[in-house]
Amino acid sequence: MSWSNPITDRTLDDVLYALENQNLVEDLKGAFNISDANRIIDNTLYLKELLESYEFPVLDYEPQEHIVETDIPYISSVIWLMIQNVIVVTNAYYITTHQTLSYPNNLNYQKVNDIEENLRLTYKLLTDMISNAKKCGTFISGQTVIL
Amino acid sequence: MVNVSNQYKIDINKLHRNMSSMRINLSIVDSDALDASTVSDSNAMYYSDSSTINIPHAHTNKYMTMEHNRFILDGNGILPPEVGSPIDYYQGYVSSEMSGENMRFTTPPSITINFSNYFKFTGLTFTFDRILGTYCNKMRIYAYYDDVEVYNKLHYPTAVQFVTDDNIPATGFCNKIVVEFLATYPARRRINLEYIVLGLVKTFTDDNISSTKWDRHTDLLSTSLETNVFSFNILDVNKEFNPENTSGYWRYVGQRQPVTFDYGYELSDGKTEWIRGGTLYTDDTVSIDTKDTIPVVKFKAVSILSQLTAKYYKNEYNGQLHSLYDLATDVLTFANLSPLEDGSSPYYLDPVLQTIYTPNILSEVEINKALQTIANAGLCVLKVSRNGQIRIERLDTTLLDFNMSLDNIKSTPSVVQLPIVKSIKTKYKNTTMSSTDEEIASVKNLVLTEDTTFKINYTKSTEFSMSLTGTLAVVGSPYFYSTSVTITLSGSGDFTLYGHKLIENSIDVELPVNPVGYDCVVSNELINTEHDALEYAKWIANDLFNRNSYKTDDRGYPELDTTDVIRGDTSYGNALSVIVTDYSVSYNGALSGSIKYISLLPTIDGFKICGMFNVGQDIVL
Repeated sequence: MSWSNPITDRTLDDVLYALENQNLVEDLKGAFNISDANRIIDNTLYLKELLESYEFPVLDYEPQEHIVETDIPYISSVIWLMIQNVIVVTNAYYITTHQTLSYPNNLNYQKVNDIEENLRLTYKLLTDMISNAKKCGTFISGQTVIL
Repeated sequence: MVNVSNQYKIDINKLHRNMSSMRINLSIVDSDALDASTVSDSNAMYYSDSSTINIPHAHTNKYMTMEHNRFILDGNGILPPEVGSPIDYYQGYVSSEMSGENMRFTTPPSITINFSNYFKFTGLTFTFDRILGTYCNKMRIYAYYDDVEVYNKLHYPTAVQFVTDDNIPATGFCNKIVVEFLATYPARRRINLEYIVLGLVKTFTDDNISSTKWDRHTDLLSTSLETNVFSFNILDVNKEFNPENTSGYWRYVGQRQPVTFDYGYELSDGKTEWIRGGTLYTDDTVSIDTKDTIPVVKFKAVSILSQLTAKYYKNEYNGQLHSLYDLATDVLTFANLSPLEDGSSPYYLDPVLQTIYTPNILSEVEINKALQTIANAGLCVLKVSRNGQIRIERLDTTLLDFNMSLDNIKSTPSVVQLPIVKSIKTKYKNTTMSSTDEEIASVKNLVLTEDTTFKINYTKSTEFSMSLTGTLAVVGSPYFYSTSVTITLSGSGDFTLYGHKLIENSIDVELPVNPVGYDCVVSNELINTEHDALEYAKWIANDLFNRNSYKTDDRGYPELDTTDVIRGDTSYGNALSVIVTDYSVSYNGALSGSIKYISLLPTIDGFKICGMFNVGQDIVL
């Protein structure tokens, strides 16, 4: 499982562009495609596994399958489950969330930005923590070491 | 009054107006076919509801799905409920199949419309997903007469709304239509069909509109039905409405064809602001004038209220109090109205009707008269809004931002002073049940060779029983309403109906208003307490106090409605608060209007015009 860069900068212009250009082959930023949903699912799983590898317990996470185009984004069993997993994973690691997530009846570009921003922040802080951890016997350049 | 932009308010009052325009949509549908139709489908989504697609109405709440680029993140789409959960928003017909990359279906979804009778259609109008702009771009339509194919043709829609003006079938009739959806635009989409009109929607524009006139009058006391008539004349260049044109529309044009119309006005920036006029229905007065080179077809459309002329007979006395709200709901449910085009309720009832109770029942009258009686008893106005919604509500006297100034009118308003009212004489009615069980109706010497249905009317009664002689028998379970019963009998003999007649005692109430003048006699059968009778009398008196009535011709303001409270200049130049009671807008390439309004006297808390007094007020001479 690898990390994919979240998309957190959707704008109203992206949404209006998507509304007028649904027929384009590429996935449009102003629409919620399976690539977006599966990226969120994968990133959430990535963070869960990374946290658990560092002994952070991640409670109440429910595995979620990838979504295909013929799937229906049911409000509870798909979208809210997705949001619930993001909350569970970000709460497993103590951070200040960018925006409190809720369980909406619809999705707009701001809500999806918030979901992905929560994941991005968690990833950044976690990987910063990991990269700054020192192993026994190592030292930092310029440090005074008492032998 | 319709909300209009600030720019419109400025531009419409310019000395030299910009261009005006109109557009009229006339549906040419067979309303009998609609009543005779049932819709079924293949491969539909769980939130699909094909049974409603033969009723034109918008689906403003769309469920979002994961089709490529369809789930637009504008916040307007709704997340679909779980299978088995209540469906809040049915979506018309939505196929479970999705088209592929090449826009085509592997297994084409389809819908079937069966009719209980045989029909011929001027065409079909399909409306697909208007919100997301997706549609079927290839379909095959079949028509069958008793399962024998009589029509089979491919069609290639290029927009969300598609009209095929083929005669279906070309000759003869059909009793089944099957529509097979073959491809979509864009690709990778399900079919999203909002509704089908069993006929055509013809749109007339300035190219073929000769002239129009929209007349409205509202009785502020609901003592008579409102007038809401739209007359329009169309240049029939292609002779589509000529009775001798065998491929024409003449035979399909008749009553109850929906008509919507809009007024356009060009603003200073060159854009046109459109104002919805009304949603009305043709009556049976279509005519064609062929004396000129280009024939002129003349239509007249009236509001839904005018067409509710079936008798309301489901009145029941049980001695219990019922609110005017419940009574109105019963009548409107009986009327079996369809939702409005935007999916909202076909009627609105002021919550104040929930606070007025009566045990009295309505007489068996037309639905529109029954609603008028309820509105009058509830001190409300009965009218139809621009989108076709029947409304019973108290008059809103909020002053609107509109001034019918001397610059906007073509001549000084003529004034008529209404006669002075000396008193309001009304009554309230107590209804009780007679203690005598007596004969209230009978049908003698019946000899029936087959089951025969009778509608028997009688004076208001309750607690019924019947007796039958000979071999006469009742078929089924008739329901006895207070003024009539529809009963099916078979055999031979006499039928006698017994019951307790309702005794209606009237008690007079008089409200003095002025020391001189005429006595206004008015009453309502639903009013049953002295308190309600006095409130009713005060309401009448307050309206009749508005004793100046003004009439003039103006420059034409399609945004104005009757019952609007606006400022109106008088011949003295002073602007009064006035209520519009009549308004007529004419169009023949340019707008013009004719208005009638009455002065709005302030209530007890407001200022008084010298020499006037409030009802019941003590005056110190």
